[in-house]
Amino acid sequence: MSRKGWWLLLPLGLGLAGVMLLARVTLPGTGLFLSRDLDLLLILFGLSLAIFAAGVLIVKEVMEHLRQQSIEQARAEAFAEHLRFLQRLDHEFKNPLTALRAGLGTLALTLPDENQQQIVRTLDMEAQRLSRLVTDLRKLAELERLPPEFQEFSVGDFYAEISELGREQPELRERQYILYLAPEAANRRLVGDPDLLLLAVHNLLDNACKYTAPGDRIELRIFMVEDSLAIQMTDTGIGIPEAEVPLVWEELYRGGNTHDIPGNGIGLALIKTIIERHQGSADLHSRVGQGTTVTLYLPLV
Amino acid sequence: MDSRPKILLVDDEASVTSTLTTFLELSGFEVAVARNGEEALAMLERLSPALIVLDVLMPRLDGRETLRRLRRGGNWTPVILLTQIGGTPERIMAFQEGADDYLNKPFDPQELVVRIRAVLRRVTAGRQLHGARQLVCGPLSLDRLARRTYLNGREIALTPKAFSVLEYLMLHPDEIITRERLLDTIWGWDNVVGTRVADTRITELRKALGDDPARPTFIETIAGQGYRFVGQVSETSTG
Repeated sequence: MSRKGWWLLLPLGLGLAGVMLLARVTLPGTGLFLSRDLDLLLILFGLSLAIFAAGVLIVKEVMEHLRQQSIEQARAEAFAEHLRFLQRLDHEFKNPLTALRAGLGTLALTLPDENQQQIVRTLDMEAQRLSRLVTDLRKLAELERLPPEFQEFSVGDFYAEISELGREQPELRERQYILYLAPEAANRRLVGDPDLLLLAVHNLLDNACKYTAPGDRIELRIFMVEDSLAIQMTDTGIGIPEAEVPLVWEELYRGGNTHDIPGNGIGLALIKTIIERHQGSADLHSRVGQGTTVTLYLPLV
Repeated sequence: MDSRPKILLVDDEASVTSTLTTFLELSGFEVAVARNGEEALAMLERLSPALIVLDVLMPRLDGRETLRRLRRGGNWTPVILLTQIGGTPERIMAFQEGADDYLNKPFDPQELVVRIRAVLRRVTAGRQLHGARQLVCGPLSLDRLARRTYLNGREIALTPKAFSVLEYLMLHPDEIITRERLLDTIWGWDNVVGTRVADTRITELRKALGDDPARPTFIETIAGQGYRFVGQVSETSTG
């Protein structure tokens, strides 16, 4: 039976029992429906039913609460372990990579043969890629660890900053780029780290540019959803396969259809960390070949 | 007489010291190696290097403690700290404790050479400023400990990040600082997308200081590269 069902049974049971008790007390000698003893039985039955219903409800509440608590605890422990892993990874990789790059640097300065030089250049590029991965992961871990510097600022000012982001993305010249700020959102205020939020939006824009082709459309819209601010980036690009959508928020994850597009899979993980630090949430919808929509939700002051 | 500047390289990882030594020697330096802070301090009794490259995470006296002991003992040999120091507040503290510069591992060995040369140039010009409590340039004065800025004696309000940007520029006067460098030092990002935030702080600084980008007294934009503090910076230490 649904929760609503149980809630109705309780007052109903109590009401019935109450009426019969009243009848017994005010009109002694009469039974409301049946003989006196049967009446008593019915009252007791009604009251027991009501108490039983109440008892079941209470137990359900407590068990649900305990269940939530242990889920939270498990999540927190998994998160802490994940952070420790990232730190260990970073620690173990940095010295070998430093030595690798120093050695390659020496070879680049001393090898006489141009072919050998070419090989060294290729090797160094790969070492650089690894270095960037490691430092990006470290930055992500630091972001999750450090206390953020929050201040209050207006959505309008933030929108002005976001509007400037387009200047750093040359691909936008070959896309239909649409910006929109809902008028009722403009005067509202946010508490957060504007630099981090700008970074999150910049990552969204960067992804949209990367995974679209010339002629595609990119829309950045800021509007209200109930009492929260929604920042939504929509593109008509390559999209993400349905099975992969729940996985894209993980660090280093890259969709199966991104082979020809450079990237290190940090963007969405970074956005997720930033938004969570702001007590917000994010969701993503996508269709392969049609495009992707990412929406960030932030609480407003 | 060897006229190559002498570097003391301090790191507990042999693969790092051997490869870096070769590279630094090729780049025109003479290199001595210590494997931890204790060894480094002992070697400094008979060696006078032009600069110390100091790894932070080492057994038996880590880099930051070594640096503190050095400075407390009155030794102002320039120091470049290696390795990830941690979050941004720790990076800023490292400067206040007397490091001249830092470099996160893993790094491009050429980047280390560039930093070493930049620090040595500053030192030769008599401009080692990192230990100073106050930085002064004409009417502008920065109290690094209290994190306050004064223009013509009156305090001006700056966001914490803008203050850190100004402080960093003034600690490296006449050097071109790239946006990426600012981002890495003050925000803790480098190639994670977005150098705009650095530009925004520079705009805030220019407005607060009344500095005209076309005819700058303090901060100059070097097109395609970054920013530079053009004023003459001197230090005053109080107390």
